[in-house]
Amino acid sequence: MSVWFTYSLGDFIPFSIETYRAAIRLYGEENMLLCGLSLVAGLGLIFCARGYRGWGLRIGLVILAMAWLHGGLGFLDTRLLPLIPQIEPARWLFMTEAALLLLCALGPVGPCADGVSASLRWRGLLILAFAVLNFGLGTGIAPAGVPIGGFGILPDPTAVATLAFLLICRGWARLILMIVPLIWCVFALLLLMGMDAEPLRVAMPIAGIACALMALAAWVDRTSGGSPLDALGRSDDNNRGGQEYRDDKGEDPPWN
Amino acid sequence: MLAGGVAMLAAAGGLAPPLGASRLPKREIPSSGETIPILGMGTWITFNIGDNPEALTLRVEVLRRLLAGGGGMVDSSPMYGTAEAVIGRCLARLGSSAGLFATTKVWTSSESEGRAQIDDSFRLWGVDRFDLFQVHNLLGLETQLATLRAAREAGRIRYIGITTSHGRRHDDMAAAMRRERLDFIQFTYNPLDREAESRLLPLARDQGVGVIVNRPFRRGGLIDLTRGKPLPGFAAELGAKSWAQLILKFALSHPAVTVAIPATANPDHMTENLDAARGPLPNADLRDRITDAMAAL
Repeated sequence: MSVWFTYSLGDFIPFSIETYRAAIRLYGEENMLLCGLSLVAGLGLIFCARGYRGWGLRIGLVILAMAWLHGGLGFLDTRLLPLIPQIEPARWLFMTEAALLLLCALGPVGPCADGVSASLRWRGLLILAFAVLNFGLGTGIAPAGVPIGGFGILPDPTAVATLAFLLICRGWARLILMIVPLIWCVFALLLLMGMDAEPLRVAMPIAGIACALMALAAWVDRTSGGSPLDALGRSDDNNRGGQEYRDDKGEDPPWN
Repeated sequence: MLAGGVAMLAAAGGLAPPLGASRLPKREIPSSGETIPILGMGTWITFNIGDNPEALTLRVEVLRRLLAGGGGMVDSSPMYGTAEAVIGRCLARLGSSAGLFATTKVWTSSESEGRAQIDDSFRLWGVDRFDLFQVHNLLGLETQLATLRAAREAGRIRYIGITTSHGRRHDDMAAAMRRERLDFIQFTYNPLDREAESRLLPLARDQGVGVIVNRPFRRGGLIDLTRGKPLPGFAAELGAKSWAQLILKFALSHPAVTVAIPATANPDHMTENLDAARGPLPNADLRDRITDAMAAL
């Protein structure tokens, strides 16, 4: 038997859930203004996600890029990396994600949500609201009444909000943009499970992973004409087959 | 509890042992004949707290009780996040490191990184000399042992050791013990992890190597296992008032063991550990009965 099988998940986590909660609380108390701004930005993101194309979705990508930058340079750098320096590469992944989001937001072909099934869209919006409005999952409210530890502050809700926002878009570009948040959600899930974190907190990365899987299933459906969801009887009525999304030249633009 | 800890700290001054506390027993380091207290403290998870001031206050009290109670070894590693920095802050707050047996590790396969880690440890702890430096999980063993030997010759460290945990890599550790001149080895030993009895503990006695026991409570897992369960009758013979004390007495009782280093963030648990180390320890028969009692839970 490999020596790796003798480890438990908790053996890899060098701090306790109490320390993790305290790190979030302290960061929030030190950055109350940013917490407030992040909440406003998150609400703006939900508003942007209401549209199907145009500037709203582009602005949404910009908001997400800013959230990743702040998540990468803020909480991760000052609170999480000192506790677990082994995840230093995450910093560069966050930067990459922010750069890609900005590139897509400012690119010639903007994001598009036309033709995305209604059920997928609603799932995306609900998970987006969960990521933005979780209020730190019980981490607390700072003395000024600002919820701490939410979207744009912690990597977890930022990653989940990104995945949910991309779920309501279409095209292969979103799958590229989903890679980093998905990696983070898998890591966060293992981290939280290893610390025996409360179920609601663990639910956050699970929601993100679910977004990525739903997006992948929809993409498979679009490109192959059949979806794993069909077999489960959960395919949406509005799904009209992959060829509907291709342009006149038969090419496959990033957001179409 | 936090408020209580802060109040205790406010009242505490220096490292004077509590009234009525008997001295902590000491054991000999085989390679030198020097004696050290049989109880120390690990810092995995418990001292990786970032710069949380409330948590720091509790760790200061934990360390104060260890040193005031006669304990000595404090073991850390660069792998433990902020633990080394927190130890340094605790020592600065205490204003004294009297009785401290400063112990840490080097954790890299790279020679240059190893040297940098060693320098960092000195800076973070704020000590002039380490009593013991170990190669963490045998990583880069040959390279790091060479570096540590050079540091010992330079007078920066006093003893050299190697570590593993969770009952892993006993073959490699035994081979290293036969091949290298080591002062200490560190591994996991508790009532439900007794593999070391068959080889490492006898080998340590034969080779004249000190033994540090880590994870005597399996990172709290054994405490969880015994929670709410009645103590066996023979616990009274040993003066054990809790399962934790019984488990710790088990680890300390093996004649080849030099020191055990349970980790805790709770000052009261540190006091409980010190009490366990001061009282009578089980013989071979009672050790088996402790294992049987725990296996039956």
